[in-house]
Amino acid sequence: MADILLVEDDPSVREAVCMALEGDGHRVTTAATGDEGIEGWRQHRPELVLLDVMLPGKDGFEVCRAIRAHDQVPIIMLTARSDPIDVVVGLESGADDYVTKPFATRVLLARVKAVLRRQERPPAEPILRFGELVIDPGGMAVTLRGVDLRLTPTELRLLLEMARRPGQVFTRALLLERVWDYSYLGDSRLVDVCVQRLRSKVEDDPAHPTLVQTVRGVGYKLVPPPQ
Amino acid sequence: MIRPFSVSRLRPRLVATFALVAALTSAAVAITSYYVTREAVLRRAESVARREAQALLADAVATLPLSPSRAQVAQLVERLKARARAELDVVAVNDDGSFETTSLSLSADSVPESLDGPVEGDRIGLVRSSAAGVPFVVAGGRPAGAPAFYFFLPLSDVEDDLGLLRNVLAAAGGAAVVLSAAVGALAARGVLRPLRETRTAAHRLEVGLLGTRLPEEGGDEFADLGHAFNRMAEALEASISELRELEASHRRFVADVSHELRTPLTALTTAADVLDAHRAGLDDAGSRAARLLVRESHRLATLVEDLMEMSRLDARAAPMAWEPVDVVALVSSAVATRGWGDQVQMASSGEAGQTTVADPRRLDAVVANLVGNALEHGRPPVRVLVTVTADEVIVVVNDAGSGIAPDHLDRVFDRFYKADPARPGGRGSGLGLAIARENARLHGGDLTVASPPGSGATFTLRLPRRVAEPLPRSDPTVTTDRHDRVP
Repeated sequence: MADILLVEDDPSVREAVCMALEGDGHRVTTAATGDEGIEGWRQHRPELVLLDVMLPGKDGFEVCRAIRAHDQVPIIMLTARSDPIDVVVGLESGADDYVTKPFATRVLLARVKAVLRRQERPPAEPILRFGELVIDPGGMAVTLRGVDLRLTPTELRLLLEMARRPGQVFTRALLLERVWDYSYLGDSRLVDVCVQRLRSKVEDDPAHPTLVQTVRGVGYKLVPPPQ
Repeated sequence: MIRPFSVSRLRPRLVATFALVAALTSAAVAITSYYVTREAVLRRAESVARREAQALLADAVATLPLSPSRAQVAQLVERLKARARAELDVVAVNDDGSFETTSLSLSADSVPESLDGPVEGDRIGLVRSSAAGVPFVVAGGRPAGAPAFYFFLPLSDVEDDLGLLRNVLAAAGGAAVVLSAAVGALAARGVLRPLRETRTAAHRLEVGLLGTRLPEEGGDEFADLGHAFNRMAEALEASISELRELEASHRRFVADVSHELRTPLTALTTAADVLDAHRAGLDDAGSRAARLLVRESHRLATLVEDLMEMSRLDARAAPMAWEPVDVVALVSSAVATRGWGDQVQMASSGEAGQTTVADPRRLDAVVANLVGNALEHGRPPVRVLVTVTADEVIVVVNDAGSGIAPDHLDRVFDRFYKADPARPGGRGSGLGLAIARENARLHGGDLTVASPPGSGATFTLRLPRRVAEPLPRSDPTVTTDRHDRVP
């Protein structure tokens, strides 16, 4: 039961999705254009943003980047599946997940629930240190050399998942299941793009990562720096 | 694959023809010139012999006394031989048959018989002959009251020259034959090169390189052929590009329509789902209508999604997400997640946990389509057999229904094809099998169907196995496959 901002230009889709979300117990604010969306986010500070890609004026990617510049609020993109590039661009601009149109309501509600769950604070866990990187699971904060990295909840969950078992290889399927709650056949691009975003924040040189390493053909692992 | 060009006929034929013509021509020229030359040389030898004989006979008549002794004759023949301007030998035959000679190898018997009789008085007889294996021109006369004198002019020098001539002519003829054969081979190459070029160009057109053209230089038949060929290629290119444009615009239209349908469909399916959630508050008719609305709006959504997928596959714009996949686990998850576990009998052969590199979502869609079809159109039990070998992955889906009639069998993969038009359409879009087969082909494999009489339909998916680096097995929490967690 969360405050949700829905940015969607088609009035019928807006109304129907709004009804569905409210039926599930959420409070919904709506916006019809990109600029209205940014304004709505500024005024209401929602706990989740549902963002259509095709918007008049500023498109969904721009809105996503604009919000991400200030806020780590979870964002789910509503995309057209005919453009596989949409998915990647959307994720790269900072979206946490995506749903393709036309979607079944239960799929949308499941995604919303999964993203909101990532924001919940995990039960108290000891603080993890990897060189100058400090992960505080309880405080949901990650700092590098004392500076807060401002990770999104999804990025934090991904980092935490790997940091709990340093050196172990995680397949994309396993990360999709543990972080994104995809029990069956999630989109492995979610993992790849999120790893890229994570690296750009935690790595000294994101092009040559040392902490979050790729295991070719298998997945990823977190390698603690030498003591 | 270009078959080796068959030069085995034209080239040897041309070479043989050239060589034969050269051989016949040079043989005719050589034989003619040899005999003409030989005749001329022999005639000259004869006229020398005649002149010498006349001069020497006149000398003999002037110097010889009447009834000379044998010693005198012997002396004379030696003198005549010495006086002759040409190298020759002299034989004098007396009336009594005795003879004098300047050469040990010549005797009265060496005189050709044809000279014996007719040579009388001042007349000179002349004949070609040979004695002791040497050819001679023999000239002779019998002056009145004197022995007969025969002058043997040897032809061995002449024969040597003629022999040399024969050898030269034979060598020249042989050279001419070899040369013509070479010219023939060159000519064959000149003819075969444009032929080979034409053939290569035709092959390039065949594999779709429609810009292929032939050179049109020169004014010969090959330039003409090139011109005709190029006109054909241009026409072909034009009509094919026209067809492609038409096809592309049709595809764009389908994609655009599907895309435009998506937004209202999203509103429709979502609103229907909301209505469905409130069905408890509706009366019976309203509730039934809501259920219908939900079912049909989702069916419409599936149709639009399949249309979009089909046009992506047609446009070859379907991206592949290759991953190592445990096929046995994927197939059982595909069945289990859709709640078909009770109606489907799964079996697998080969080692468990064998992976291949594939797009798991596409593979899942194919399996779901095949099993879904078997459940909808066939009769239980539906059996699924997964076989993983060293180089192939085979998934066989088979049902116990009445099968598919032979005349429908090769059309089941057609778009919107319904084996029985009278039967109400199932839940499918009519594109499922077409998409499934395209997905199989994107993996480099294929999807086939068989329906032997008396048993149900059997669909066979065959994929080449791509072996990936093995998944790490050291840590069980990592290797836990996603499919084991399917509820």
